[in-house]
Amino acid sequence: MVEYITRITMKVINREELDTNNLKKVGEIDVDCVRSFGHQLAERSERVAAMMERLAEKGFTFTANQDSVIAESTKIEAQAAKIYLLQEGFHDSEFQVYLEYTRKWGML
Amino acid sequence: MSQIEVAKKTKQEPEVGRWLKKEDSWAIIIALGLVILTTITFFTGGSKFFTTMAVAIPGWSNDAGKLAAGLGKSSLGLIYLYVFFTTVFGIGAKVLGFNIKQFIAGFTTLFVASILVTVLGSNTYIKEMQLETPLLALIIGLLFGNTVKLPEWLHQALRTEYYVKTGIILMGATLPFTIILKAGPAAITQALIVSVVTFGIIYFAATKLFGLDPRLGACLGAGGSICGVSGAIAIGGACRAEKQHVSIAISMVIIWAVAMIFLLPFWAKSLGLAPGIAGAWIGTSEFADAAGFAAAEAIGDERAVKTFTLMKVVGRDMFVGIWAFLVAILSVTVWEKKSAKDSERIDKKEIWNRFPKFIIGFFIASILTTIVISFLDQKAGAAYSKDIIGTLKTLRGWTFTWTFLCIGFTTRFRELTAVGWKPLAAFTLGVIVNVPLGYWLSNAVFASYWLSIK
Repeated sequence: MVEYITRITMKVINREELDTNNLKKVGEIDVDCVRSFGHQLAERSERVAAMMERLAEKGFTFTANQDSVIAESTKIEAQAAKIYLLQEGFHDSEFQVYLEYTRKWGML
Repeated sequence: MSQIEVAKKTKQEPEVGRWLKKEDSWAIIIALGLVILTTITFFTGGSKFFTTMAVAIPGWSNDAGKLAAGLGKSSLGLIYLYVFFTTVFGIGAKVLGFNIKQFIAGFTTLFVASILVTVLGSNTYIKEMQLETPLLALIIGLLFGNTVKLPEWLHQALRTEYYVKTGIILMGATLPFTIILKAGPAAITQALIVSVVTFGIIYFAATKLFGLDPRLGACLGAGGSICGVSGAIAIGGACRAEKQHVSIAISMVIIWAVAMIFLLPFWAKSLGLAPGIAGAWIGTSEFADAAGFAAAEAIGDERAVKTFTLMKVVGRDMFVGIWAFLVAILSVTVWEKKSAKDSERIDKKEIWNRFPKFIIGFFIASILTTIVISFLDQKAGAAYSKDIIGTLKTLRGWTFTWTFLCIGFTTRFRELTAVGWKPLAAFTLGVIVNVPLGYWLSNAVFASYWLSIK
């Protein structure tokens, strides 16, 4: 009756998590702030890449937008994908699952 | 080579391309396009094409000659109607990815069937049997759909949602925006009461009484309280329900929605309800838009269709996104036993993503025609109402007839029965509360609002 697409958004640049406050203050920036930001970014990128590797094993395909990588599958149900990522050692805060159902054809 | 490289990469489509791949978008383009075109031609003097296309089959009894003469007079209009809608629906179908040849063949069959049904529905004897065109279309569709194996090419054109959404937007054009604003608060309040109570009962019965998965409970609750199949699909997506959960909820919605198409108008007429109140009751207690329009049209009074639309579209459908957002939060916190801090973040965009976009078309259509009328003097306003609003109303009628035939053709009772007794029982408990509650709210609490809609 329905078809679905499971979408997992993994933010490479998560503005809520990254400490970018110091970068925004004109004139008050120091080397440590920039280096710390770089470390956070590298760490986040590595985690996203690792998630992509795990999801690729399940047949997910990938696209990207400005700050995120989006994994998509029409074969793996959303909750199963979430459980899989958690079992692989990732955390709820590292991704967002979006599941979209559509009617197969002509349904009421 | 890494696994990522091995995985197939897809290029993201541009925003407009993705927008055009949605049924809602094409319903908006077609219906709003029609409203704009007819309005322009009203001022430029070229509205003859559209007024001719707005064919209304005259009533007849046993005088076949009179019927033949009426049909003969309408033949050019029927050709225009067929060519216009085959073209616009066909373009949409092509972009949506349907098989265009099969779609045209299927739509042609549907069009011919709609003429036959409308002719039958215009017969005074059949009307006396309380079989209005919507019910007749549904019965004929159900008969064929459940007894004959329909060819594959016909299925391409059996797009209930495509036609009903186009019809709903056209409905918007015939509803002054002032009426929407006036009845909006009543519709929203009534819908909120019914939705919360019905969702709560179905969810509670499913999870606590029958021990079903909370995700299934939410899909059933949404299907029975918010907006039928669309509700079940939106909430199923939001709470990451399994495909099976959504399918069960859809089956429940279809079974009860089809039953209510017959029951609600019958009860409303038996209880002697005013059309406005009957429409509001149907808008509160029917489960799906398309089915609801069939029931409201069966009342046989435009006021019933208006109050139904206000109640269902403005009161209920509009809030799917908010429901989805709330259920999504519930699913990642309560159901997964996690605090808000530790749980997966739910993006507020969820509200917009799940919002049924055709409703925007409905509002725009209403605002457009209301503005046009407000700028015209009394005489020109009356002419616009007669020629343009009248035409849109008739065309809306045709889109609904195609909708009702599609409901019948696509509803297979055999396929809907394998859901188990527990979901059925939970959903039915909701129906038992929803129907009398909807009646009481429409006929007592908010009666004055619904009676004031002319």
